[in-house]
Amino acid sequence: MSADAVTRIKAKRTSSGRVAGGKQGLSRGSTIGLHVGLTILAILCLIPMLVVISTSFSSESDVKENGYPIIVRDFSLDAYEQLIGRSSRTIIDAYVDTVMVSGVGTFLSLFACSMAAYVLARRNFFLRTHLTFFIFFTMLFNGGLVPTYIVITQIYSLQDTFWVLVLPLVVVPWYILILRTFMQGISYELIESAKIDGASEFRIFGTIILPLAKPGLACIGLFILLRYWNSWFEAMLYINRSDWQTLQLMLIRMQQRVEAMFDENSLIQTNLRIVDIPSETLRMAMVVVAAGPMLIVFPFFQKYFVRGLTIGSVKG
Amino acid sequence: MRSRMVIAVLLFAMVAGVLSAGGEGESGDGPVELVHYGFSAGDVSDGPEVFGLINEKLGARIGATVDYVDIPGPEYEQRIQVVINSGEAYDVAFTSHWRNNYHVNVSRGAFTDLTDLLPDLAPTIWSTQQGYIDAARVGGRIYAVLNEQIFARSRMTRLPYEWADAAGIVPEEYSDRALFGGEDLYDLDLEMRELMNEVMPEDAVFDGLGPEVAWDKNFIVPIIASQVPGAVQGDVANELRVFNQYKSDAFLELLDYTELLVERGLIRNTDLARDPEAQRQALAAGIHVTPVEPGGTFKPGGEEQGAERWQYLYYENQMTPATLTTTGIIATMLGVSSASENVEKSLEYLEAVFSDDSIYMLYHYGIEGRHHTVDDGFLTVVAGSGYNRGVPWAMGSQFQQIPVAGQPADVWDQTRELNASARQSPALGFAFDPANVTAEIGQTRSVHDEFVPGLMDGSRPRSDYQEFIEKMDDAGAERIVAELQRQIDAWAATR
Repeated sequence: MSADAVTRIKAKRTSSGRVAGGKQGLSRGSTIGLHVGLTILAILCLIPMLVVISTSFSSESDVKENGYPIIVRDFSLDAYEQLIGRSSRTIIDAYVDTVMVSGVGTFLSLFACSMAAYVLARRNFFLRTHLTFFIFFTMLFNGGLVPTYIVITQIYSLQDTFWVLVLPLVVVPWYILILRTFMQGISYELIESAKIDGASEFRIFGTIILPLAKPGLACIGLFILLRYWNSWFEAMLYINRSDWQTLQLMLIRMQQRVEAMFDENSLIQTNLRIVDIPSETLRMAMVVVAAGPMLIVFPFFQKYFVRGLTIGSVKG
Repeated sequence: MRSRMVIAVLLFAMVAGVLSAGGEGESGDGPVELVHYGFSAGDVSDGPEVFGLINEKLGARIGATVDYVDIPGPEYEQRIQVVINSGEAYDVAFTSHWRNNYHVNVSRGAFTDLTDLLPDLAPTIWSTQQGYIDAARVGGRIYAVLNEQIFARSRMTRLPYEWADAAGIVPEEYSDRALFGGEDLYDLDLEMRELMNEVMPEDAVFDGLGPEVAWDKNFIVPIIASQVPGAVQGDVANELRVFNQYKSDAFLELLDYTELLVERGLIRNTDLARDPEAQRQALAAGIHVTPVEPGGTFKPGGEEQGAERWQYLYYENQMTPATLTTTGIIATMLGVSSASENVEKSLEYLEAVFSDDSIYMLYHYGIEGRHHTVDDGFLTVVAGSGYNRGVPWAMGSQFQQIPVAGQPADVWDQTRELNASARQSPALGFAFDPANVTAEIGQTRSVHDEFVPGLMDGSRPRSDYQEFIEKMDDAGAERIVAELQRQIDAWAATR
């Protein structure tokens, strides 16, 4: 943009800072309307989360009598005491497992996806179209459950190992394609000039591409982290050790136990005692404990997230 | 340079991880290790220790150990199906008509034919299961052994102790009047409901009856399931005519009776009972009234088991004659995989569990003194101790279990007697192959679920019955009946 053009635009601005002409700007009324609407929407989104948190900090008797609270009526830490007291070992183990899997997995996955994306983003790579299609194809068709199970258990013998929770989720075609589009926005001239300066391919990738792709990486990194954090299917299918489970699987199993308890089919009736069923508040406390870390992580990614959201929507 | 090293380290870590994992999965030469897929409903966190002890016993007795893959109950079906479909080598797995379907597995060759091996390798199982194991025959062959438990099914009361006492009801007398006095079941039900209604609070749940009550009252035996059309009449000699039980007079009579109960307010608050949390509260508070319970089945000693579950004591007394059906018998079994390389050892393993009570007790209730205690010949489970499988019927003969404190000492003799004295379904031993009418079964089931619960608790008017029957027919009820008739005739011809 030339200096002249900038001056012209600046001159057009009114003292309120809006672009002259004002047709694109919103009237005060509609701004208020929009804000009220969005605020209501935001509150609606927050309420379920608030109910979960409030219930977890309420006393069981209050929840039974008056239903789920939006704002805590009768504050109590019973649920958390119970949670830590009765199954601290399992919960801490599950936490450690989940953090390890999420940490290692996110790192490996981001690494693999960004490398693949970079290669596909390079216009001078002759297999680019074919490889992109190859990766895209797996989004439409996959091997299905049983063949995947055979590959993982019989060919790689990964069952009951740490890696079975990590490796199946490492490469995500969709994320590769998003990152590819993002990296295509990085000027090819930068790569060329680095080459002229004698940089190797890995150096270009490591010192030029990755820092420039930070917003995209942060955004996809968060997606990947969430995916690992919330994954439970792999643990259910491939982990036979009863003392080894991820947080989400633990939550699911707890819920299943409650449901099985009420199954009127005499065949599934079990000898468990009704007092062994986790109370409402305890279940909510577990949700808070399991989902909490992700709620805390999210704001750290936010500054990248807004930019990251638009990636792929407009080509640089 | 640095980035290159990072990559090298990462690649090395991945490859090393995969390789080391591969090493763990392989079994070396040494004693046979059997793989058994089963499930639990309770806390089995001390499982490794308990199985260490079981394996010591097994090692000494049959020279093999078992690698028990413990899957939480609700996940079992999916897991075992993947394992079977993938052709993975395992040895023993739970099977039944309701979870990991036995007949489907047999038809696709997932289980080994045990017929000729059982008498020699598992003599205890073979001798104690005579008379029942025929229900597990497919084409004359046996592909799984039964876990012995209550085979006979019958309806029972579920009346809260204190309230029933307050109302002056002696459930045993009603049981006698129903079973031996020749009185009408609905008359007795009505009498109990009216008496309970006088003493119970307004918010008590008065549950409706279910179609199962009508079937048992009239000795109608549904073949596939109560919800799916297709039943035979039990007390008609030598006749195996299949009909849609929902078109029978028995069901119409039940609808009339239900209508009467709703009018008099003797079925009420049932919407509350459908909400699990509310039901739990109603049961635990002892305000749940069901004079003839449609779900569940009467078991000697069941009251104490229920009390353990609900933390409230309910009278459970038998209200209809016990019936033996194929599904009642094959409700819990153990099959040996056709992919097993240790069929004989697997049978020896099952024989060991069925004949050594200490293995059974370890398997279900863990270590004595720590997970359970035994006083005067009665069992008490130590709550929160880290091992209580919660499904004592899922492996072995339940008759091996030490009676739970509160149960009669002869609980298993009573159960055996009930099994032995039960009336037999005329189609006992017949196994239905659903392949030709799978879609119809699914559709009629959903029509059932749309109408029957509502018809049974009065939330749907009696006049919806006609629509229900029409929709059932549209969903293929008559095709199922015809297919059942065809298969049953073919089965009867080979008998």
